[in-house]
Amino acid sequence: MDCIKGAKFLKTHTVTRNVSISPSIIPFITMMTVDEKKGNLHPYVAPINHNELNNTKTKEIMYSILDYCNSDDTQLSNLGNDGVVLIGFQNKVRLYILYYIFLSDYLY
Amino acid sequence: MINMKVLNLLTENKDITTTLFPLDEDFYENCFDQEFTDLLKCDGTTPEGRTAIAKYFNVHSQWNEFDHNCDFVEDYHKLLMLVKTNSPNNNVWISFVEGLHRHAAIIACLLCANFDIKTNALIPGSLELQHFVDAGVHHIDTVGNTTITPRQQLCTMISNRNASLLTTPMNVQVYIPSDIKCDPHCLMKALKLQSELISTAKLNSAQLSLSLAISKYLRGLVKEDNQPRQKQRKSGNNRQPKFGHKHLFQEHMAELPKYIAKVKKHNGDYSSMGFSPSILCEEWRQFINNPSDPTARDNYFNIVCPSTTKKKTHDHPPYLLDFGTLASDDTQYDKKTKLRALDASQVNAHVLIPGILHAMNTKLANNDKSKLGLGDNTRLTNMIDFVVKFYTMRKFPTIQLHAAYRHYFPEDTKETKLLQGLEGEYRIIPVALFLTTLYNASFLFDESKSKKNLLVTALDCFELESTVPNEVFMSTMSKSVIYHTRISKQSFHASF
Repeated sequence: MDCIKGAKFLKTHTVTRNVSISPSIIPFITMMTVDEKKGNLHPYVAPINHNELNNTKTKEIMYSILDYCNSDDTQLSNLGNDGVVLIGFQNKVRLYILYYIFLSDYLY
Repeated sequence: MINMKVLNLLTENKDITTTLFPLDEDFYENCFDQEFTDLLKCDGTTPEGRTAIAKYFNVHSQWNEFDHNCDFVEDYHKLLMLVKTNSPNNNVWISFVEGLHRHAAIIACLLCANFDIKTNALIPGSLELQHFVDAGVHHIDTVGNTTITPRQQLCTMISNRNASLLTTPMNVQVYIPSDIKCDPHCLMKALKLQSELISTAKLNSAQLSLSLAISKYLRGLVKEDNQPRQKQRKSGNNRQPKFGHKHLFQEHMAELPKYIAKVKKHNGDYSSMGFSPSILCEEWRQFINNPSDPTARDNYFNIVCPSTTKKKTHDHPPYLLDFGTLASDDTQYDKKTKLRALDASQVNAHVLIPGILHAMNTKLANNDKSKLGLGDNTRLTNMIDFVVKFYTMRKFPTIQLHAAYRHYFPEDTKETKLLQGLEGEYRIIPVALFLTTLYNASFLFDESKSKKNLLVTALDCFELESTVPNEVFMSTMSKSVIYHTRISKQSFHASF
């Protein structure tokens, strides 16, 4: 699939909508598995981003969010305000069955 | 079903599988109802916001039973765990096509968590200042005197209502699947391509494009406070400056052996071959090595420009040109020696070509994929020499390649007799010639007599509609469509 075919596919099979999302809601609508004993969370993403997560970049943004930049008088990094997301639906019954069959050892 | 990737790549855990489409075909049509839209706007950093979230996810009764006498990180973590483990409404997920790092950073910040590299685990409250140092965040080298932990910092910001990057809503574009029978794997591929496109577009907009890099150099040549230039336009004085340096127009020569024989005949002395001293002197060498160096530029201008006297002042090139007076003065030509004094358009070319070639080479050499840059400064200065001579020492504009080209660039073995036949890194030759011609023509034929050059304006606006890749820019500026049409017509007739 090339870029043109990809764009045509998206035009045919999706609709787009602009919405405002409060950052503090994002973890609630991010797919996560839970380790209840340890209280840890394991986030997952759909394979739709060409980029791979870079630890330094993430920490740079976290450093800006936590406003440490102001305390050491360096310029606040610009986070940008726009994003593009895909919305999906998890059929929890099917998901839990899969967890039970394949992933129960790994999860807990 | 689609495979969901772990957010943290280094983890050894396997991916998990989930659904993309609901069983209910109308779900996506109705998913952005008022209730869900209100949820998206909830501020989870406030107690009221967390209560509203608990209500939406139908875990309100359990949430009320919790002890909330704790800090923000703990309270938020409790609610998130409750939703992820007990909510019957936890069935919508989002994933970022653009904004992956923001996504990860926001989650990690709200939980004040450091990613466990091996398990993809977010451990709430585990973030320490040392993690920033270890990750190589450029703002800090050591933890130093800072004693405020990330958790204390976050809680203080939240209680002071000062965490704007966690409370200001983000504007996002949401892709909503409209055909639940489409192939989810194709959808994933299409979105991944879209992600790459958005990223490339952002990168391009942040970087100076080829056309802007050239226009930046051209704009930099004209000083804003150039009084003589303004006076020249206002007074309607169209007389061109007179230059002392003279040169001989070179005849066209297609065969390399003939050119070599000519060079040998003059013992390699370009001065006796009729080349202008202004492109043989040491100041010229220094100028073409770095055309952006103001000292090298001024030194060269002192050599080539007419000297300033008390009565006459001459501004620096590039000069405004006038069609009526340019090169019409017979005193500029010596019939005996056949030497001709340089004119303003030729001096303009001396100044423009080095900068244009440097700007193009810098942009193209930085782009490894294009393989259009020269990379080597000696080859670049040779090219500047060749292009300047080609432009200024021919009697009339031509697209026929001079044999000197083969002398300068013996490594280019591609057979061509025309400028537009040049390929690869040599394509910057016709582009530089074309742009220089356009620059001078913009002054010559600008009826408004503006001191702004139309080419500079055109280059500034070149990418207003859409991004023009370097390859497309080079092709557009180096190929003549009319010529190709003529050739193809001739070939067509010849075939009969």
